[in-house]
Amino acid sequence: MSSIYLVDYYSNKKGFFQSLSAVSKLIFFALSLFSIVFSEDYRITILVFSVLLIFSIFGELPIKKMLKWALLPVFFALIFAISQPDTFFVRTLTRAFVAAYLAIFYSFTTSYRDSFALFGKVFPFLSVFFFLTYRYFFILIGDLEKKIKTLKVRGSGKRKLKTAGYMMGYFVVDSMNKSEKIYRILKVRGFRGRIYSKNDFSFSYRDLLLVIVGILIFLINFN
Amino acid sequence: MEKIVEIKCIKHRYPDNTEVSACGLDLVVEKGERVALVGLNGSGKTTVFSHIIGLLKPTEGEVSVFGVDPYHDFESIGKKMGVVMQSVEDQLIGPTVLDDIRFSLLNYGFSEKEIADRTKEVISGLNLKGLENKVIHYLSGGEKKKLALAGALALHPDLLVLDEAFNQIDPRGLSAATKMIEYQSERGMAVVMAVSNREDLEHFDKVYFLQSGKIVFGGTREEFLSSDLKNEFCQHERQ
Repeated sequence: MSSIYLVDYYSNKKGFFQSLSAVSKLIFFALSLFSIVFSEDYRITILVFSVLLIFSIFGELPIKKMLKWALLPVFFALIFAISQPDTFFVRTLTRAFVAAYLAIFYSFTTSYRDSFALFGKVFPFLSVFFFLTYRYFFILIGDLEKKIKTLKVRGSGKRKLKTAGYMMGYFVVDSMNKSEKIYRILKVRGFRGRIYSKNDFSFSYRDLLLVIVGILIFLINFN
Repeated sequence: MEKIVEIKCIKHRYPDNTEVSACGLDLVVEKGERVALVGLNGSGKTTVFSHIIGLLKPTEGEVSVFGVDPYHDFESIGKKMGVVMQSVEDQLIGPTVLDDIRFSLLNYGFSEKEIADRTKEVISGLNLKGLENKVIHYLSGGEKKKLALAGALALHPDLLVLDEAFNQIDPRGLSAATKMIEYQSERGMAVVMAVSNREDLEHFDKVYFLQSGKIVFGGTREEFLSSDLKNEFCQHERQ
């Protein structure tokens, strides 16, 4: 089972952060991201990261896995950071890391359907497009895993490269065929381009708490 | 009796030029009837189903569901139909079991109360209790089939289309599923299902046998079981 399924698993768990509205999490996300990107003070980045770590512990999220995933953008930021002076080098890397962790935190606590339903309020067409792509991505990952397992079980022997080529070819054709099929089947299930959210963006006092934390980070940044 | 489905000699040509047909006898499903479509592998059962639910447009022939062409007018009849595909993975949208059951109900504009009642009904009817908040990626094959069936039955459809829907479901789940289907069929729901083993036939009133692109038999289950075609079906089953 692909570890990417973990995102779905955690974002649909019954937990404090999962029960919050996608709106409050998005506000928190935006305020924190703004503070990370525009602050000259590295302590703000550390503050945001500390808050996120506390939230992750409190929310019983898989911190090790999230930290590992957050390192991936750091690798790409490295290419850019190398050309910067020493102080900017560290800042660029920490910013990339904490911003990635922030995005991962949002994904691990917000069901994709809620995110797309919210996005759909502003960009209905794009949200449907991304919603279907996202769901389709999971199906493809599952298919690819099955194909790789099949390849192992059936033994590719000396013709490893050739077999892998056949498999990839089959996978590409099958994916194209499947994407059209899935869209039509969803239409059969009544899908008419509207994504329904779980909590309809209702705001509770707990949502307010998260927004206040976001505002505090933002204010500290400007003082 | 009101005709729900009527198929007259359809032919479909796939992009690789493979032609699949279902000619011979007309396939007719009437209100409240439970119809099994039987045939060897590759005989065209899935192609027939894809035409009934409007996924395919026949190259030749006629398909009528609730009196309309499902390929062009699916919107007008979609609410009356529950569908379980052979590869259920393609039809589940999730993210959780509960969300997936609610998916079609929300799309068709049912009230929150009705959605809650129907969801509860299918969850308990199909032994899905305890799985409500489980993410669909982590379900077993049989659980996915039951979930797809739950989503279809929650609509209280007038026509239930099942393509090999009972495969992978354990005996307990199977008994619950057939009970629910029978219950809804008593209130007038028609069922058409691809059947690949003899035991499943006992839940159906009528049987159509598809062989080499032709519907060669159409009659009651008893007639089918006393015909020579039964041996052919059972032979295939043993294979």
